[in-house]
Parts: sequence; C-alpha cells; structure tokens
Amino acid sequence: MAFFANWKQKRELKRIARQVKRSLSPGPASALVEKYIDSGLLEDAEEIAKQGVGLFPFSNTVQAAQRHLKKAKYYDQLRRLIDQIKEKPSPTLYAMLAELYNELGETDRTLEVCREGIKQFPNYEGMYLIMGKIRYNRYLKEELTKDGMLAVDFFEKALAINGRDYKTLVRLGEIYIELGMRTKALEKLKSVLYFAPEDESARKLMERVQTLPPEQPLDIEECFNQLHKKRSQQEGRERRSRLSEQDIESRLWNFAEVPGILAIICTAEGARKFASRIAKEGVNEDALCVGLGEIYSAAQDSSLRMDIGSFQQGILYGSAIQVHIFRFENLVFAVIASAQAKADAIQTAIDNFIDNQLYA
Amino acid sequence: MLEILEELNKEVGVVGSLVVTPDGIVVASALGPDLDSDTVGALASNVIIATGKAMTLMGDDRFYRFVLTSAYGKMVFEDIGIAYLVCVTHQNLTLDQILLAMQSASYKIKHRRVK
Repeated sequence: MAFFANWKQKRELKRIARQVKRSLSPGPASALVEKYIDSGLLEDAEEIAKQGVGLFPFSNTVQAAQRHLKKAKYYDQLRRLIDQIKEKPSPTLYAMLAELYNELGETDRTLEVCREGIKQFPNYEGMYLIMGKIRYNRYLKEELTKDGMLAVDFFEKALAINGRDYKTLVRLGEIYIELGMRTKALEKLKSVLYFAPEDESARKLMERVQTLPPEQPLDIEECFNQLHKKRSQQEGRERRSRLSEQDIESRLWNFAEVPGILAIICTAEGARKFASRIAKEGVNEDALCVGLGEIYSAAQDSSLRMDIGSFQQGILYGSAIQVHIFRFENLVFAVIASAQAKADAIQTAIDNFIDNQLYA
Repeated sequence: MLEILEELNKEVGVVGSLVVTPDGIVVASALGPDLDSDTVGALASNVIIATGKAMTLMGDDRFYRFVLTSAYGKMVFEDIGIAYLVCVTHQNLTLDQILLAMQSASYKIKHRRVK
C-alpha cells in the first residue's frame, strides 16, 4: 500500500516538475517547492526556490516557499549550534550560527549573534566579515550609502585583526576602485601582491587602478554619494518598469473581484499616476494618488532612516477604509477597500495579481 | 508605562517599542541600543502625520493601525487614543502574534493606574 502511495506521489511530482520547467511562473514554482519539501527532496526544492526568487523577487508566494524550505533544511542544525554554544562557546560556532541565520534571511538575528560573538571573542575577525558581507549585499541591492560605509568599516576592522585575509583585501580593493579612491585601492592591492605576487585578479585590479582619474579630496561618504548619483544617472531610463501604462491598466481589470474593493491605483514610485481602476463611483482618483504619494514617501523615508531597508508593503486600517500598498519593480500599487472588507482575501488577491498578472 | 513596553519587547522578534504623540513627543520608549528614541520618535511622527493627512484625502478621518513592512524589518503603529504605540520588529515575524501583544499593551497603557 505504502509502495503504491509513494509511486503515485513521485509520479505527481514528476508531472508538476515537467510543467514548471516548461514555463516557470510564481504559483506552480512555489507549489513544486512545497511538494519537494513534503517528499524530503530538499536539494530539488532549493534549486527551484533559487530560480523562483531570482526571477520573481516581488512574489510573496515564492518568498514564503523559500522561507519554509530554509526552515525545513536548517532547523535541526540551528538547534544543535545553539546548544553547542551554550555548552562550550567558540568563535567558529558563533560564526557558523550567524552564517546560518543569514542563510535563513534573518538579518537581525545574524547581526545579534555577530555582536554577541564579538563581545565574547573580540580578536576573531570572522564576525566582522559576516557583518561586512551583510552590509555589502544590502548595498549592492539597495545602493544606500550607509550600508556601503558600514561594509567598508567592518571589512577594515576584520583586516585590522587579520591583515592577510586575501578575499577581504581584494574585495576592499574593488570597492575602493569603484569609489575612485586610488590611494586606498593601491594600499590593499599592494598587500595582496606582497603575499601573492603572481595573483592574476589582483594584477588586473592593479591595472584598473592605473586608469583611475586623479583622486578627489572627498571622504568615503561623499564618494559613495557620488557613485550613487553617477549610477542613478546611468540607469535612469533602465529603472522604468518593463510594463507600460497600458499593460498595467488592462491587467488591473483582472484583479480578483473581492467584495468591498473601492479602487486600485498604480503610481510610479508613489508620485505620478500610472494606471487605475475605480470600482465605485464617487471615488476621487486624484486625491487617492496624492494620498498614496504622501504615505509612500513618509514610509520610505522612515524605513531607510531606521535602517530597515526600503519600503516593501503596508496595510493601513482606518475607520471607513483600509489601504493595502505594495511595490512591484519601480511601481507602487494601492488597493483601497471598505473597512469591512476581509483583509486576508485582499492579500490573497494581491498575491495572485502579482504572480499571475504582473509576472505573466 | 516603561514596564509595559519592556514586557512587549520580550515578544520574539521585537526590537523595540515606544509611545509617541502625532506631533513627535516621545511619551515613553524602550528601544534597543542601536535605536535612538528621539530619531525614532521624529520618524514615527512623520509617518503618523503624513498617513493621517493621506487618509483625510482618501475620505477617512483617522487610522488606527499601520503595518509597514520593509526589506529588513517592520514597523507597526497602533492608535491608543492621544498617542500611538509604535513597535519595531524583525523582518520575518508573524504579524498575528505581535498584533495580539500590541493590543494587550495598548489596553494596559490606556487603563493603567498611575501609582
């Protein structure tokens, strides 16, 4: 009986896998990840989840499936490490635990473990490297000056403990080249070449340093700001959504009919109106756009200054209405519904809209 | 009031909490070492004012809760009458759990007896 059930399950799994591999889309990809988890095929699940997150970064269902997978995969390891640290703490155990939390996407816990590790073992560079890596990845993703500066600071602290760390020296060399900080870049790359004179990548970086224009008397914050400005100007056109106003307008009509929805509006970065669908007469569209702009800009500003990254989504409950705000690429959407509408149903409709319409 | 906030901070994933009036006056705060109460208070007040203004534009007179999710954390605002209870949390926190804890804290703040 068990053999037959197993065979049936595997056949079903193969069928879904074939379907997903033919055309990867958020819903089926998440379903496949969940099926693989249930069957204990965690590596297969990881492969699909990785592809899914790369292709559909704004899909909540894909993100949820990935979180579930990571919990399933790392839970036992996590418990073991926590127990080992309690019993006999060591810098390596702290570093392993921090890396594991980082892998789980638990940035705050990673940083907590790193801080604790530094307190216990101040002469171990591993914690600074992890913190530097987190900030550096955040910088690459969001290009915030603060993240970049902290990344450099943590990497420098790691080097102050272990000045021969090849990877950190090269990484800092690259960052300083990007920032146009010729002297600092030279210093790091010379160190690499002192320890490894034949190193090809260090030599290539050294050649890049020679082509840099004369260094300006700027501090690191100004250098990061300048780099950000340069990149924004270069990418100005590319940052636009791949969906046109007409695309969005037509897709808004496929937003699920949830009782109580009054309007759906879409703006570019929360300011200019992009598209809208007004479900109830008498709703002032312009006022909605201005209101959404106000909320988005305050929420985004607070998020960045609170160091919790850029604003992703928000749910606002009022006495007469509720507003669900979410981002997709550089667009900001708001679903305005009556206060009595079911928030869960609206959230499900939003998830489906992202997966099946915006990623269609 | 500080005790209530400290109790709230014991919930898994809560980084810190504070009570702030819409005009930015921090009534009480229990924030972690990385968060400065005046800065968080000013930022929270900015969100409260802008959101309140936006709600008026959208045809509502007030908001009683705002759950703001960012890439690396969440901020939850809960109206407790003359002020707002603001909670800063980790990013992957289950909201139901924290909302329940916040409601309980709000009730205690509203009905507390000054010794």
